Amino acid sequence: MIATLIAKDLKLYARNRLYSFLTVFALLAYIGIYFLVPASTNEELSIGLALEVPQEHPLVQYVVRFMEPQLFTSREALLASVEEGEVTAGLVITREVLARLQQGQAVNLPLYVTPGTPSYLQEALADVVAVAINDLVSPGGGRMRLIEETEEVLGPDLMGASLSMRQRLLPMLVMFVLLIEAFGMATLINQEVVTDTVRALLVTPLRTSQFIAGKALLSVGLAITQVLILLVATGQIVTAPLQLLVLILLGGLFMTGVAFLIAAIARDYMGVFTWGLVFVLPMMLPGLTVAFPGMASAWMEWIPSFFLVDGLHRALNFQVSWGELSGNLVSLLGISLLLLALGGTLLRRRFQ
Amino acid sequence: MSLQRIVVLLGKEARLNATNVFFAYSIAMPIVLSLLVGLVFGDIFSGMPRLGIYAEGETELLGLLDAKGSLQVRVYESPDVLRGDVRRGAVQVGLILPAGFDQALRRGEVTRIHALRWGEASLRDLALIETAVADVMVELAGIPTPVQVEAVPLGKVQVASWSQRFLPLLVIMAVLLGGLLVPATSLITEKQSRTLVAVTTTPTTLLEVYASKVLLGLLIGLFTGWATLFLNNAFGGQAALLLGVLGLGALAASLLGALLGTLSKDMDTFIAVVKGLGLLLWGPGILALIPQVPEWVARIFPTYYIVDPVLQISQRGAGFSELAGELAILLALVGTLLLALVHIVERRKEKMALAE
Repeated sequence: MIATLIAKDLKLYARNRLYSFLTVFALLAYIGIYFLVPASTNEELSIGLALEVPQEHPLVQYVVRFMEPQLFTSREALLASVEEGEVTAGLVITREVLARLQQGQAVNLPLYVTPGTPSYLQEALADVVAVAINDLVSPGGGRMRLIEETEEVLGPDLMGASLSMRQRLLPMLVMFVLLIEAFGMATLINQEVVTDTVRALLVTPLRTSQFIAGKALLSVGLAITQVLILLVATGQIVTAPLQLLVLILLGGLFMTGVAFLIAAIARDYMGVFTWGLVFVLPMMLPGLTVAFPGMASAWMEWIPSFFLVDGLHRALNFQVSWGELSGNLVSLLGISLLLLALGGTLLRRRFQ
Repeated sequence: MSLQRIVVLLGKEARLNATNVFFAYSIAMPIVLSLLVGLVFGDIFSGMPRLGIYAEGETELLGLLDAKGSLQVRVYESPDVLRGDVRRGAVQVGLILPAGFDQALRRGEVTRIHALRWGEASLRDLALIETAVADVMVELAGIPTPVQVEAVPLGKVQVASWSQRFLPLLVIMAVLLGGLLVPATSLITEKQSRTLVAVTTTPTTLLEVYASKVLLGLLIGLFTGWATLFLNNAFGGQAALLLGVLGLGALAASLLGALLGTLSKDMDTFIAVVKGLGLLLWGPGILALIPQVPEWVARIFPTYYIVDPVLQISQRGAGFSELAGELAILLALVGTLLLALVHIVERRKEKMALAE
């Protein structure tokens, strides 16, 4: 009976043009976005240096050793390279500059930066060069003698191998797939309520619990299928297949609970849209903070979807152990069961 | 007027409006636009390195770093909160400065600082943070720096951030859409379905009905305004003052919405009026996109007195005394709208009484 119900729902889902289109289009778009964003990070500040003085000069050698710049034989070659964006910034050391530095006199150095460089980066690059050269020419070691620093690293230390935008984006894309799925499922159930087909179904031997179970199975199945397509297409399923499967299954349950809640509260199609936004917009925040950590805040860790996104982030990008992932899995399972129970109860009350 | 009845009506309004397309639009639109502007132009993709500082005493380091403009600097009241933000990557480096840090630097004494580093931070950002901090420390210590470096951008460079230019328009949209649309459309719907007359045959007065609608508009405007500032990283330090000013702006928008809803015959008329008022409402936001236009031009528009104080507080840390003039104008605007609305409601009451 449940299988028949699922087959009927699949047909209904496919007939809803908006969600069918959104499902296919969004899935293709997410795969496209994944491959469009950079797969690597640029960890280097590429600085060019044009020398109009002998390279053997001790001060020049210090500068070259400290800044590891790309060397140019003339000012013109350097400026052309900066303008083309081959190096981010460029500096010219002339005879006059060198002489003034040796005599300890004040020097104003222009640092040429590529067109379109953000103002903060212009300022930061100027700082890098100024601090480096001042440290070299300053008697007594400049700032180096002032500070004794103790450092503590929080989280996995990826020094020199930080995550690419592509790696950061994937957990968020998985989350989006599940959210669109929740919207679709809530609409499907709501349509049954609004058109009263649910009453028609429930006067048959089909019980309310079977009806709800059928919807839950369909929703989780659709969610798992779509996320699997995304992970297979991006080639990331191989990073931690078992952990990802468990997370997707729990994510599917979680989103089904959310869909049940929306469908139970909303009066009609507009209600699904409105309540969908109310539920879905905050749920997106943890995903955004993985992609753009600058937005992260302590309270966002209280949003239930955090456990799913954080779990995906750890499984995909840090290859964590089951033990390290257990907190996320247990929390996600608990929240999903709670949402399913609450949503199921509200739906049951609505059908009666 | 009964406060209890207004609260009950407010609850009813919120429930009924929850499925209204204008309600969803007024809440979702500013948030979606903020995210879009942020993604297309903004600070989310800016890549600016993020530094957090907890200082056990007073330090000039914060002001100097902020003035540099090469880092996003956040100040923390507790080392635990800083540690939490470094752990989640909200800031890439956290510095814990001891009391008397500036004095020790100036005396040339060796000073200990504790640095927290987010493990996922890129080398590039760490280098930029380190050099910016080092540069400021040298300045604080008074160590001579013979070499000054000035960045010279080649070609045409857009210096001002587009997300900053869009912020006034986003704030106006958030407060106005949220505050204006919901009371107006709700009143028009009630007029068309004649439910206003039905409600006032109960002990509920017309003024209470209006008060609940204005209150709902205020709350929505406040929420969308807050959300817009938050999404644009423009939520400054003076939260109480900022909420107060946002609240006044949302109240003005909500009162205007109630006025327009009362005066408009139907939804088409209302939409036509809003379109007609468009330039007057969005003017300061549009002018902020064109830096060549002198600032005084924006002052002609009433909505300037909503958006400018909000931005002054959130972005430049302005206090009440600096904004007293603008806030007085905003209060006068709210007062005028309130008087006009009360006057119209009274006239409607008389008409309804005569009709009976």
